[in-house]
Amino acid sequence: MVQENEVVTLLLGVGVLVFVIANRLQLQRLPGSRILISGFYVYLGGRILTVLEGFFWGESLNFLEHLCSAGSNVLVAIWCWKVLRKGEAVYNESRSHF
Amino acid sequence: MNPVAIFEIFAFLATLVALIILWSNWERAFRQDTRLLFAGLLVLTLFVNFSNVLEWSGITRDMDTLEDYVQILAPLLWVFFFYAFIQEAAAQELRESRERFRSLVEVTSDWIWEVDANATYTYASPNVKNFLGYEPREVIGKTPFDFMPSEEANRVAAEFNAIKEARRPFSGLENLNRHKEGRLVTLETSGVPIFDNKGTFRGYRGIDRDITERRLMEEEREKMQMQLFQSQKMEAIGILAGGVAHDFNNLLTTIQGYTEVAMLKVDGANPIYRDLNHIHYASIRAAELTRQLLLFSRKQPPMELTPLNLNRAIKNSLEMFRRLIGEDIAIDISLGIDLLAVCADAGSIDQVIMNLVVNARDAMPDGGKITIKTENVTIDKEYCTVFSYAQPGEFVCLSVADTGVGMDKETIQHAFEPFFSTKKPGKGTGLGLPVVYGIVKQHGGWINVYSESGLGSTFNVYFPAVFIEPEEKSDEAISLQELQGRNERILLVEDEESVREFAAIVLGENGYVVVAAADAKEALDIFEKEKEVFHLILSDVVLPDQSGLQLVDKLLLRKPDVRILLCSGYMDEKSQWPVINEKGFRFIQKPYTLVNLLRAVREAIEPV
Repeated sequence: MVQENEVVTLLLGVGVLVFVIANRLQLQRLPGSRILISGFYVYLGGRILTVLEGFFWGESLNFLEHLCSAGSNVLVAIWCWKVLRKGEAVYNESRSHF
Repeated sequence: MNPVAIFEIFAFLATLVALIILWSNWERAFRQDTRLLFAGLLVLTLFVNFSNVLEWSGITRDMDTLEDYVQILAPLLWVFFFYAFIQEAAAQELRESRERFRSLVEVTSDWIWEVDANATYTYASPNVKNFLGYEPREVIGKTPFDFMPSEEANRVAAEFNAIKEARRPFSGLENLNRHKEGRLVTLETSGVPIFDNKGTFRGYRGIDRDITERRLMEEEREKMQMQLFQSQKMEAIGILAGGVAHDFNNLLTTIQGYTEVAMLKVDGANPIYRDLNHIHYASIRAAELTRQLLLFSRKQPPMELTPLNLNRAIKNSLEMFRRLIGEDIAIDISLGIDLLAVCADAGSIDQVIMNLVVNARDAMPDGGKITIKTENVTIDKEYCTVFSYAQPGEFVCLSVADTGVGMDKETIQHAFEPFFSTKKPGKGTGLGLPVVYGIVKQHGGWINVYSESGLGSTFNVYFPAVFIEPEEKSDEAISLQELQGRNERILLVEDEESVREFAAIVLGENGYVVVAAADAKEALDIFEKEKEVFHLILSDVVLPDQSGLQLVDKLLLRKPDVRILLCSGYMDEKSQWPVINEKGFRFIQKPYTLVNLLRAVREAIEPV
């Protein structure tokens, strides 16, 4: 059975997807953007599976949904570790090309 | 345990790690808003994971409803986070771009500026201080033309306005600016027009480059090229003059000599005598012209510096001046009393006086007055500070003033440059004053010129004074009778037939027995045949088969007591001056006059 909140979340997620696609060039220039955006895609995949499990293959899709949720969180954690601990995204005011 | 619960624990732990990393880098991670959004996203995810762990491990489902609602916020936090992150990156890029621009502006040696549509500075980089001595704030609000001399400002403004009207970029616009300290600075300006989003013209943005030193170097290089060109020209003149001098002097010897011979045979009252005198005078001038060319090209024989009195030199030349300047020009001589002597070459001094007088004459086409003045002057240190080329001490000043057309400043600057002449073509060689300058410099003196257009000119020539009494020369008093020979035998060696004939006639008619030869071989044969009974060998230095010096060496081996007199039409190294001087032979320069020849022969046979 499909829950309303899951549909709303999915719709909002699709809206974010549109935003991501529309701003992909700017997002690509961000540090570690590929990992972060992958994390978002996997998250969105989980949201899609949540809705779909209400129609068919409930148990399997639920399993995949939680797998996506875990995968998304791992990707975000990796991104976080990569850009914050390794300093890739840490902006420094005095950074200069010279 | 349910595998979903395991996934959720795994997800929970991953999110927790991410949160810990963010927390530990809180101060240096992102901008405040990005940081809060990211933290919010992580906390929300952590709550969802926690709720799911509780649910799927079978502990409780109490948080399920709340989790469902909280989950809705997740996409919103994602989008806000992305948006804030993009904004932060854009802001960072802008900061970096500004920093890059600032670094460029500070590092570049150029001055970067912006002007509005009215050409008023709206920005000036700090380098303006190095260029013009002003701080940027002193420049902003002013126009570029405010820093230029007025004439230059008008020129550049006109040029810039045309560029501005066309709204086109420009480069290499040279302009002269006045530095805050007063000196002039040459800038090279380039710029591009600025338009706003609507395409409205807003002004110009560009750079200025200081090219003052480059300009100076270019000018210096041009000057050096000019000097090189000038020296090459002088060299060419020297070669040309040296080349023609020999033949020309031989011709002049014949012309002058035969004219003098003819003049001796004609009564002074006879009109023919006057005509001959004209020819004689013209030949003297021709000889002078050759001499001037050689003097200027520095091919002249070494100067003979002897103490001489300028008053006497002027008096001796007075008659010639009167002939030179004509009747419509008065001549006023004011000779200094007790004038000190100068150590100088008599011929060169005559040349100086003559050239200055001729120059004065040419400055007065409608007549006027020439004043020649001499005086002793003491040059002090104060004078030397004004005229850096002067030296303190006792000097004799020769002043030649005229009431002619005068010279403007520009003409005075070029007056001593060779071939510079304000006279009509064919009227002047442009060598008169340069020769004067060269001679005066060689004598350790200098020249001051005072002149104004329409008010005449005064040339003051300063020679170092010497405290030696000049010897009285009695040459002028010597008459032809005293120069007559006493049947002495002379071997005349001269390859130029006309000169040989002239010399043979003059010497033959004046008491000498002359045997002439056209070359060295013939001379040696004659010397052999005539049993070496010659008192004097009069030989040209340059002969067709060997040099006159080689010939006299051979003759001296056969008769060591024979007297030697050499002559040459060359004035350069071909005259072999150093060797002649070294060996102590007497020498007479062609073209020689009758009297000069007789005197030289007499002095060679009977040394004083």
